[in-house]
Amino acid sequence: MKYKYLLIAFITLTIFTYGCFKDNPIETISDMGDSEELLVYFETHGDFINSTKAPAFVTAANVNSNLSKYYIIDIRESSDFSKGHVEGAKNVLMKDLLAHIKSIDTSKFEKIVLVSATGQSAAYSASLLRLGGYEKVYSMQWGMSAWHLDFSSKWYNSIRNAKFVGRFDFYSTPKPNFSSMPKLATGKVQTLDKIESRINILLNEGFSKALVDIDTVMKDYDKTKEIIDYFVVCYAPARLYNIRDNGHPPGTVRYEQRIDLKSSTYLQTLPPNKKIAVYDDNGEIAAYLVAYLRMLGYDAKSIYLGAMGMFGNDQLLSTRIIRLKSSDIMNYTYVTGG
Amino acid sequence: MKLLNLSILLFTIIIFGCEKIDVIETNLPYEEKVVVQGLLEGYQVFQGVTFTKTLPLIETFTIEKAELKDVVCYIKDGVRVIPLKYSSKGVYKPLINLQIEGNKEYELFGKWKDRNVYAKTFVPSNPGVTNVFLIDDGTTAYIKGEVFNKPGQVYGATWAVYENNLLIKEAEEMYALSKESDKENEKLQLRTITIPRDIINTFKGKLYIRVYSFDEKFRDYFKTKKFNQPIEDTFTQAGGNIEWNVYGDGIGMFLGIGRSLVLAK
Repeated sequence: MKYKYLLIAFITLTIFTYGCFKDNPIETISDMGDSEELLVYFETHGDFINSTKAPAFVTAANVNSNLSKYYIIDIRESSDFSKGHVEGAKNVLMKDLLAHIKSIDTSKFEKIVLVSATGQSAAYSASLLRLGGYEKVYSMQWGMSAWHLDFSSKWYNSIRNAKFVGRFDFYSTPKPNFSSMPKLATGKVQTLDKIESRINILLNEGFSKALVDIDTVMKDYDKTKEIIDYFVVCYAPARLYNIRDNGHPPGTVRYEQRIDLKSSTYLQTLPPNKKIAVYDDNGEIAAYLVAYLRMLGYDAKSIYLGAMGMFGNDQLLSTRIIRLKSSDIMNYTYVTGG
Repeated sequence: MKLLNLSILLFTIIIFGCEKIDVIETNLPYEEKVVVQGLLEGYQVFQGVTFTKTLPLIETFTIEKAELKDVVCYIKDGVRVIPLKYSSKGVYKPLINLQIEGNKEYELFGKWKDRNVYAKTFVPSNPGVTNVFLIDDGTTAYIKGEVFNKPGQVYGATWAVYENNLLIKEAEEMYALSKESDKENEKLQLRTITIPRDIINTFKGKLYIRVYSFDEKFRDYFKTKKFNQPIEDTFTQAGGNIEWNVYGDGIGMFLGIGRSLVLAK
């Protein structure tokens, strides 16, 4: 008797469960990836990184002439800020940058200028904010190093001699085959929310995540005779790629600025699952690019001070690398304290 | 008694469980959907995809009302992403001239607000056509021909008149689509719709058959495309849904085609 009830209940439940189902046709639907979505948005909304607007530099001289018109944000640590900063500059850390920009009436200012120690992290941050639609944001070239000699030691102490001479080469490595875009999941629905979410994440994690030095890139080279962990990109003219006496890290692939990293050219030849180390002359233009690539989900990093950070000391007396020259150091007055 | 109670209870659940509660609306029901229209012709420059939206029944259709200007969309040819940008009248084009390749699969991804659309199509190669003849028994005339089949494709034909390489007239409809066949190079029969007598009389020797190859998904659309026509016969029941190849929150066709033109003997 008990089994009879059980059987009736089971049959009824089965009918009940399946009776309400609609016959849905089998559809294979692929979702738009966040990385692809951001790429399409950027390229159809000005394509900042591949336009003449990038890099958005202002010189120290220009800033000094327009102090009343520009809103200056110094993104260095407060201890560095208190040692000396541009008059009127606000000290805002990278992680608070987006919220700070949102809180100010940008229409009152001609430009919003970001300042860092050497210009590289300001370039990275400015690029992120530009991608977020803040078109008045610029970075001060060479950072505080160009403002006054008192701050340029950080820049000059960081340039390197050609420690890797003999390991670098002049061989032109071809671009790899096309790959998929990186897998990126922002968890947001609207495109603009995805962009804002990415900017927040990248500013919060700081520039250190987007920076690598040449020692790290070349770490295992002596053992393996090739760079395994990194895909090295020279984002500069051939002049730098095949620079006399040094060449480039083995396997480095050159991409032409503003041309080669569009969807219609070679962007998708970048590997989606490998760390990408990018260099230019001094790291600032590379930092602009790295911000863009990280927005899209690539694990890109800017080589610290670019070619200057790899072999700048050996090339100092030549004009073959764009570098901070003594004539670029303006010795303008600065303010100390918080 | 227990069994009876249990049966009544379960029977009640079955009867009422599936019932929908219909709320009678005073307005005509209307679901806003993204409408996609795009043709990819092999070996030709891609002309773009049109994104519009459905409008309520009482609204008069104008492209200004229907077009969508802020769709984030791209096509993908396997690996590469090809962004599309709004140009005008709902049409989105690639940032550079894009030559569509034959024998290749393309995907379309679109996003408007929180709505996603997706479509996939195969762009066929241009069909190989043979044995093209004008059949004319004095009352009815049409052109027939044979096409070499490739799996995954279906074929249709129209008649066309060319003079000095200029298209004078072309049939607006196809007689039918070929059957689907998995056999490579099987010869499939095709014919056009009837050619009007005045065309036959005026343009004899200038009549061509234009054979289209389609992604086989077009067949489903072709068979169902008239389902949305107004019902003029009171005793006729409405048809089913039109079979689109756009999925997600959209309807429409994103279709690969190829075509060949052959003079009728």
